[in-house]
Amino acid sequence: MNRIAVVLLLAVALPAAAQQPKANIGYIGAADFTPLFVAKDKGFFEKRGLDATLTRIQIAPNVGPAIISGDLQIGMGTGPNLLHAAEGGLPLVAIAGASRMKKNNPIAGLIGRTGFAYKTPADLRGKKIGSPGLNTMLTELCEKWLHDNRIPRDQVTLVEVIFPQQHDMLKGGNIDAVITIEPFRSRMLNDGTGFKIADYVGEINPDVLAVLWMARRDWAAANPQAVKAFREAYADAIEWGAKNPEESKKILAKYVGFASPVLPDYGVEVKLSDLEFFEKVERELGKLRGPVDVSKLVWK
Amino acid sequence: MKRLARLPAFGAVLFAAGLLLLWQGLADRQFISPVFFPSPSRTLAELTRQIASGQLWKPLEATAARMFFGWALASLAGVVLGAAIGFSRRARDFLEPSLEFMRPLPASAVIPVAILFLGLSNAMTVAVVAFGAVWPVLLAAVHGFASVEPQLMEVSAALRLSRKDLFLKIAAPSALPDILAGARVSLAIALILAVVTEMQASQIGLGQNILLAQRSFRSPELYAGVVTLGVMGFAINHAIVVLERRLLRWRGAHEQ
Repeated sequence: MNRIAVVLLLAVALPAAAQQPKANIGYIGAADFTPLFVAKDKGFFEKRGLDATLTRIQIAPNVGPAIISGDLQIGMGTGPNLLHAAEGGLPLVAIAGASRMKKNNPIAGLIGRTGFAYKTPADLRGKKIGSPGLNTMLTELCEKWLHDNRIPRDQVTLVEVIFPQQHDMLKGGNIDAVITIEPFRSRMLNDGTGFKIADYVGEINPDVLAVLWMARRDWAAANPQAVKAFREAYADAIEWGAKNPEESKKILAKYVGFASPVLPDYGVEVKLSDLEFFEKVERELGKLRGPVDVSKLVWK
Repeated sequence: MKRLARLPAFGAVLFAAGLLLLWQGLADRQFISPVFFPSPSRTLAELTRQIASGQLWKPLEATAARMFFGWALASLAGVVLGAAIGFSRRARDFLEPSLEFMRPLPASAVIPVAILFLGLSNAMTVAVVAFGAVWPVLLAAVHGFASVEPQLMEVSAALRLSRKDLFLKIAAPSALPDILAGARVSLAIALILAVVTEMQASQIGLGQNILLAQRSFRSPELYAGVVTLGVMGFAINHAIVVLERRLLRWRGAHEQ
């Protein structure tokens, strides 16, 4: 009888001990998450000890609330997301970086409609610019660029146009310029629909943290193993991707449903200066009203 | 006090005050996180800030204009089409099935089509609002014009009234109560559609404010927008009731 009890106990205890920490990870359809897909596909998560499930989220603004409600443990976000969340009292922290925008590899930019007589930024006064999302990182950086070029915000109309619709809206003349990202940017440039107005991100800052990984503060505190495993697996995937670019692109296409000939830079580090940069931009544009302690937003 | 308690307005104010107290109580006890569920006091503070800084007026004006012009276009189209269909049996038989097909189309589904034709312009939003808001007025007008009292029609034949006089002096006044009832429903729909169009087609207005507040996790702003819309709806409904009373004064006297 005793032996049976011991065997039963072991049968329950061993699998429990061997169970890896779990995480449901939210991403959107963009090339910034290639290392995430590689880590899943090539087993880096398993190797580092994380039972990872990847969940595609339709639009980026839904990720933050999903993390707060516990549907996701880790999710994509940007500097502005995190700052607004902190201002609103939401307990989100940055546990790792996902991708970066570097001046020598422009991924995002402002593209003008072919036929729009553009010579200087001042020509954008009174024009309509398509934005993938108002009050999102890419658009705020473009607003900063407009601000730096002395164009008042109320003299430009920003309208929301999601990436897949941008090409047709630009071609049809519904908008005069568009804030866009690869691969949509290259497509518009290559088929003559648009021309480059500015790779504005690089003009503001040569190295910007584009997308980061967020989690709830209490989850990160209670699951240090999961956080460590996630960071290590993501770093493994970045390293593997650098050596196998073509296969990376195939894996990306499998997950997001479109091919991207140009890949962004990836980086798993999140520096305090990355967030301080966004705080400065947001305060300059008047988008942040309350006090935010940026030092508390980077998870150690 | 007893006389006060018998006034309908007193009861309404009491009920509204009760709801506000309940809201404040729930917010204070934090049944839902204050991040997502601000108290009435925080909402009012945010609303006051928006009014004081002048931030509220441009979006409010934009939403109100969109709603009003869409509703006006819908009412005009509804009355004209309603008269044509109401008077003619053949027109009813020909047009009604197609109209029944178009009626349940949600405005959100129509917005992409409207953008293709009219671009991201005010014309587009007015067209979408009008498309959604025309149905109550149209159906009410059809009913109103189709049910003019037969005796009145006999009188007009006997007096050999022209078609224009028949319309202006007999048919339209007869159909007016129905049309106004339809217009009241249309106005409420026009407000809803104005807000939805703003959210989907990224136009300046209260709808866009609400959407952006949600994305930036600014719940007092979100609720302030919702409260503003509620006040707007209440005010315009009241305006129509007053208009109705004035335009239908003759009916009251007639029915006495």
